[in-house]
Amino acid sequence: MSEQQNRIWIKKIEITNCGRYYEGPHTLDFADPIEKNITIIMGDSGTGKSTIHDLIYWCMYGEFKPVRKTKTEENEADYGLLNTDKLETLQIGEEVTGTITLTIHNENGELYYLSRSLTAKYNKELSGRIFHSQNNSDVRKGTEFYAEQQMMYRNESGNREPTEDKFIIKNRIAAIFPQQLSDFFLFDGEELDKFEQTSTSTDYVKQGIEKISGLNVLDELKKTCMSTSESLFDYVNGKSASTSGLNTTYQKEKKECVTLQDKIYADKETLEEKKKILEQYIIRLVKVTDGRKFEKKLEEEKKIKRQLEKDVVKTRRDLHELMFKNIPNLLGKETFQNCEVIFGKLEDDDKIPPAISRKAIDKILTSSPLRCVCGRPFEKDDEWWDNLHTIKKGIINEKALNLLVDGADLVGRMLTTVMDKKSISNDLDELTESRYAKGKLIESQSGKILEIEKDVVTIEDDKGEDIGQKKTDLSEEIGILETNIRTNDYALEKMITKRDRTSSELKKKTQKANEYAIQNHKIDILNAITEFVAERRKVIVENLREETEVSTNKYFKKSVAQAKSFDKLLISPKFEITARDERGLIAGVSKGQGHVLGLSYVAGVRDISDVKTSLIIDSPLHNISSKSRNKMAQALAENLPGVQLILLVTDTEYTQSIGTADAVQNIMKPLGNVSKEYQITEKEIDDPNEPGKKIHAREFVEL
Amino acid sequence: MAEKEKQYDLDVKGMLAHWPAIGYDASIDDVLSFYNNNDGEKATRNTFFYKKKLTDIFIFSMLLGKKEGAKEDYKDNGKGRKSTIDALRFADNPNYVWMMLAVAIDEISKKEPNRDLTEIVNPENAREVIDICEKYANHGIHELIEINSKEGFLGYEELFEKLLKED
Repeated sequence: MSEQQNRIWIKKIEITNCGRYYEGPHTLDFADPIEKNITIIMGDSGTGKSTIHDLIYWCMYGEFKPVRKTKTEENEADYGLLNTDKLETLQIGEEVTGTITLTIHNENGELYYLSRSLTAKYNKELSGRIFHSQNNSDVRKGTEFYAEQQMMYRNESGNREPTEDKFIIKNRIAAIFPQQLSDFFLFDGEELDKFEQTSTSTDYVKQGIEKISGLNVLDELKKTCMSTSESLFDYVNGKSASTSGLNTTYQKEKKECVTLQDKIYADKETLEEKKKILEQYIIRLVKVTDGRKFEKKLEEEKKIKRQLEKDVVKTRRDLHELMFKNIPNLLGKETFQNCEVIFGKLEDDDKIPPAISRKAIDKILTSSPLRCVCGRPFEKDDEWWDNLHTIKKGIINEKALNLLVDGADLVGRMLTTVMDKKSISNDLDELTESRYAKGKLIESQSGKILEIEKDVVTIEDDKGEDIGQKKTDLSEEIGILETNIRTNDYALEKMITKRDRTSSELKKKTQKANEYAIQNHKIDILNAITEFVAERRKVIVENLREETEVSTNKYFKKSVAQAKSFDKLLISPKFEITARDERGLIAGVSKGQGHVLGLSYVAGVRDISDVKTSLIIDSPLHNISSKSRNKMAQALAENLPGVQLILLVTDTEYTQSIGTADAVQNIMKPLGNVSKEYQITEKEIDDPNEPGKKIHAREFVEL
Repeated sequence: MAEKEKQYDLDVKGMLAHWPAIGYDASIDDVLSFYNNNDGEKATRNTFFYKKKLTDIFIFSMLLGKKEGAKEDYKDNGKGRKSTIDALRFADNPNYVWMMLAVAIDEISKKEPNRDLTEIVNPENAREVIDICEKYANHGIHELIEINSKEGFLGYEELFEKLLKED
């Protein structure tokens, strides 16, 4: 991003007939952030704060994707893009247009005037309703929609010039607000909850780092190279007489891979949908007393099962490590014994120092009667017998002076670890028995859960719908789908190995026949590029991870409450973000500290990606303690100078003091960079189509 | 203890710095794909070598070959010998280095009982050591592929139990 584009901000937002905003335009004006960079937009829950966030996204990219809202019959009005009061009262032949415009400025004045609108026309009366994706809600059948967009920009002579060309608009917006980085300027505050735990933040951090790296370009290049290479490969082998039989096999295997892959994708999609429906059933179920009891009981049993499954995974991992550690030593036992004899001979010949004390301990352990060098008698298998074995395992030759002595020592130690096979066998038995026992427990626990589920003969909700049974049926379907996905994943893995083997064989045959040498050469080049890109990708991600860690630390240390408890933040190669204390140990973070961590990450990423555009945060201060809330508000006010910051907050978040802690407003305003405060208010107006009926419209009031 | 381990590291690293890269027979498709598909993070979660390294695969193969006492030359006059594993990748595991040296010492001492051991471990002699190890690994890799092909870790469990039962 060039210096010219370093300060980009939204000067004005105008909303007409969108969401709860009836008619309009409803206008929000913003100051140049170089003077005062913060604008507060306040509104109670459900008043349309998030709608502003969603509409800005729609205006920029043409996609209306409401954040967080789950559609229910009750909140349908919040859910659709066009104002419901307008849309639902259209008479045949009438239309309504919902519009949002953004006036975008840089330091030279207006840069773009971007307008996007959606028009709905009620053409004919038909019974029933239908989901309309552009409006993102159920609408009356017979309603037609038309979308339009327009951009005004300054041409070379500095005059305003309009365009409706979607590619021009897309490219110009992408240059200042890249869609893949939208999370870093249109931020949903609820995402901050993810930073309370490493397990939930990992994917978010990983995706963020990948987004800022521009890796999509590399990924596209890799994809193109792979598909071109594949097409060439198919062409060569389709033509080559020497490989026609093998090519048929390859094509068949390739097709099977694609079919399996498609099936897995389809199953995964269905699974996601079913899980969403299941969640809804559970929500409805717990509203009924019987359902609540049933869900509680079921969840308790499932929790036990999950714990058992975790235990089994841990046992499997321990078993894996036991095998991984001991198999090489057991395989090499005879070789090591031979070597020990050779080394022993060298010691006897005084060629290397006689310092391999394992041998000395062996002498004690084989003495009769058993007696230590200090004269203490001991018995086989008693405490001293065990101690000597332990010492023997840990013995290191302190006087080892050269490589050979070190080697002799190491070989001796490797041998020692496998000489006590009984102890390894015991460990193995213990782990396999534990795995078996826990497997049995999981089986019985699964049976118990099934029994409980069967007990729910009928649980009806307040509408008389048997959701208990429906939920049970759906759970079974989900179980089957999950099994299918696992089985197909395994089959796909095998099939890919088979296909790759055939492909390699094919390649060799054509190369041997020296047919299509040029095409084969091209395939080699494309494959080399693919490999190179994969390697570069790793390097880029690793570098960015390190940079993100540094810049996130910068913000975190400045902003977090009780900063002394933390020494630094670490982002591991697996993108796990953790706070560490002075000893380098993981330091737990509170809800509020987790939010600060998340926001530090967003600010840090913006730093390294040079995003100097607006930062619009929906609910940045929700759900955290007063101390953290105020600390975070202060950090926001102090740490992003010159960056336009639009905070969409509730009254509780902003104006109310909690206990002895001051209200956020009293923290932020004295710092001097809050330029404007808006309140979203409700206004009752007469419905022109239905006398006596009131419409609850929203409007912005500057405070 | 930590200081001692450091001492080993330094010695081993110094030696490995003079070693040529260690190879495997990439002209055999199964071998090539086994090394490629089981390389650390690329390996799937439920495979034995998940998050492990190429050095682990090489050592397992070599020891399986040595245990069986069977060596195998490179196919196709060694055209498939790819110097894929940089010797320094063994530096974080001195045991592995000494497993290779032990295999070579055992082999050479049987043929030449009077050979000076210091000469065998001399980095200048690394080519001879590596040749022996690679040949055993060339044989052992086929058994490893077979063991790995069984469901879950069954193949490894069977091998482990067999080894523990041996006298």
